[in-house]
Amino acid sequence: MPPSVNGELCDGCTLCVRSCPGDILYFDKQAKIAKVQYPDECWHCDVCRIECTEHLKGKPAISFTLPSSWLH
Amino acid sequence: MEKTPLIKTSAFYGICVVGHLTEKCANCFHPGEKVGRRTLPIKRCKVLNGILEFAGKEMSLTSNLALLERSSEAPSISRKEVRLETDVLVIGGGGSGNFAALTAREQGASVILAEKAWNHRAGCIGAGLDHWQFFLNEGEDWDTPEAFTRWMVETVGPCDYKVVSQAVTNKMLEVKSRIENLGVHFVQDKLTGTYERTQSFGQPGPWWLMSDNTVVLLPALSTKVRQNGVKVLDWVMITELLRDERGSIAGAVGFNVRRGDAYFISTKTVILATGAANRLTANSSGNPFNTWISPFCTGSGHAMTLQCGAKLADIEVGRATLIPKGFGTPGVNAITGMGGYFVNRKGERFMSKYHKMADRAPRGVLVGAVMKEVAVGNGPIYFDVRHLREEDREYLLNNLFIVDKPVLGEYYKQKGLDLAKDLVEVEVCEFMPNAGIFINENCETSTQGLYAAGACTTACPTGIAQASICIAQGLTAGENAGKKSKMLARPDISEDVIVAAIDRIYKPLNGGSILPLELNARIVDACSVLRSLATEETLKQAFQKLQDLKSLSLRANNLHDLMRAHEVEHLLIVALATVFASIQRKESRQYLRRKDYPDRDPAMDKVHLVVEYATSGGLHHSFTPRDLGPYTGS
Repeated sequence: MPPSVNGELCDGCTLCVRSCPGDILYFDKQAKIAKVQYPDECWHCDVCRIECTEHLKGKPAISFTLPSSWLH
Repeated sequence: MEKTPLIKTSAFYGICVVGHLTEKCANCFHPGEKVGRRTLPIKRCKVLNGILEFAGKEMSLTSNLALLERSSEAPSISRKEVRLETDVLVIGGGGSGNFAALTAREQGASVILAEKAWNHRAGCIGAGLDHWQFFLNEGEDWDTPEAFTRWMVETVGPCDYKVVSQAVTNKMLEVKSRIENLGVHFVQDKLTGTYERTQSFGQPGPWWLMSDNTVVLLPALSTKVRQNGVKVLDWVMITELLRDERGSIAGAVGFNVRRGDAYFISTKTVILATGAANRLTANSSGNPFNTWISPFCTGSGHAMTLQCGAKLADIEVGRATLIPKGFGTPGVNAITGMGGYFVNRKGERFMSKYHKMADRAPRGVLVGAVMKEVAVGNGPIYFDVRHLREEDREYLLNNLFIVDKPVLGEYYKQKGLDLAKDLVEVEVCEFMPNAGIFINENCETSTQGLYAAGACTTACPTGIAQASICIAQGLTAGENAGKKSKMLARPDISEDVIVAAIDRIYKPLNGGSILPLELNARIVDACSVLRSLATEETLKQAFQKLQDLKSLSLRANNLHDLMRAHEVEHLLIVALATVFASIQRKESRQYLRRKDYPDRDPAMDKVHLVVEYATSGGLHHSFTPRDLGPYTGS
């Protein structure tokens, strides 16, 4: 399951969009935050959250929720 | 090399708070803009030699607008053509590719590195790694270069003695010192200062070092590569290699996956550092992106190798590991290295039935044992770490599991698993082809000018997928390609050939019958036979299904689709070669299990099964002797 971007915390720095090795994120110009375009193609590598955590100094806007079908 | 101080350019390259960068941006001089509840200061970007420093990190200068747009709504796809010349073209960032670029550059060659993602975080270890494998040559018999070469040849998979000795073993300690110089730190005992080392996968002694900060490596390496004068093309996917009339490497074409620009690169040598071939099959979740190692590597290097007249070897013996059910992740060596073990549904530890090293047996033995236990009705299978000391279990979770794959912590939490109290059900992950580009001790293929390094080659065989082995090859390939390129003339290639190759890049955008991930799903369906007991009949059926897929034309609606289209096109080539080779191998070995040939054939220990394209165009196989050195094979 893809990362979830918290719109309140995201400052639109675009580092996650740039850093995703799978090109699954994009920048929403209206909302001015990052969003996920290709959720099924996420590898859960955590690069987006790593970059976000460093940029937002420990409080990332990104979190992960796995699909139920992967847990049962 | 010293970093050249950044210079002020006459044109301002600005970036406004919503990330727009243009060469003369009218929007870039806002004092600050409210985004949500924050007011963000203006950021000014510094550019030197085409390298953009954005938010303190370096990347290729490219139009941010296209980079950031939702790719299905990109205003228009740029068809601008970029033509470049170089001595060495490295295809694929990541550990092997970046180190290959570095050592090629150290030979004085001009080097381009093309990576379809941002090189800063590309490849399997973009987010870090918990374990590194090194012998340290500090006196014990098991801790020597020769012990390592022996383990590779006898235990890990069908590799060659001379190739491993020269391309891998000889470079291992250099890998360690280079990554340490880039900031990687290995865990040491606080009192004695000696390295903490663990053992698994049939190693004769504890070769694993643990690292708590490998997440720093790719960014530091990528920056060093750029600063050393390698031209890094972020977001450029190479789709096809071109050869001159003699059949030697002459060039490559590709495109910018976020802008669309076409690239033709004239090059004397190519180093394929494209990683393993994933998305051929899927684990129980059915999602081919839910993988052990990077799903964005789909065998592009393998496909281009065949298309260039070079060879793959032993791809059909496969590669797989054990994963917590439903979630692709590394971690087996962490479990067994820390003293965890596998139990069946009866609670029995069973690995000692299959190998004297029990849970520290080679990976192929562990996977085979789990398959057999399930086949005789003893499944499900679990891993058990309840017996570990609490501090060891905490270390396993917090310093190993989630350093290697951070989201694994979320998996345990969201599944409600407490490693202190619960068994964790496991399954065999997706089946991947064994690393297969057939190389010699210089990392050369049989095609003049074509090299390969890392998880895509026969020197990183089936039972291991480890960064130190991959990077060692990167060092070897870069050095050799760099030296060789200085002896070669600029190759000739006709304009017609270049234009035709560039046109082929964009063909899926002009219409077609199947979307990339639909074709991927059909490849996964056809290759599912490789995840269970196969027979001649079922393999031939799979081969026919894959042949039928060749007649479908891929359709891409946007640049993201176009990247996936080329990935899947390469994957189909690899799938055909893998199933073809499986039919030819009349035995079971490593992960290839044949119901009609259930046993390993000792005669096959001594040979490689080589696959290449015949001059008529179809797949052709042959056997070539393995170089076992003084050892017996596996």
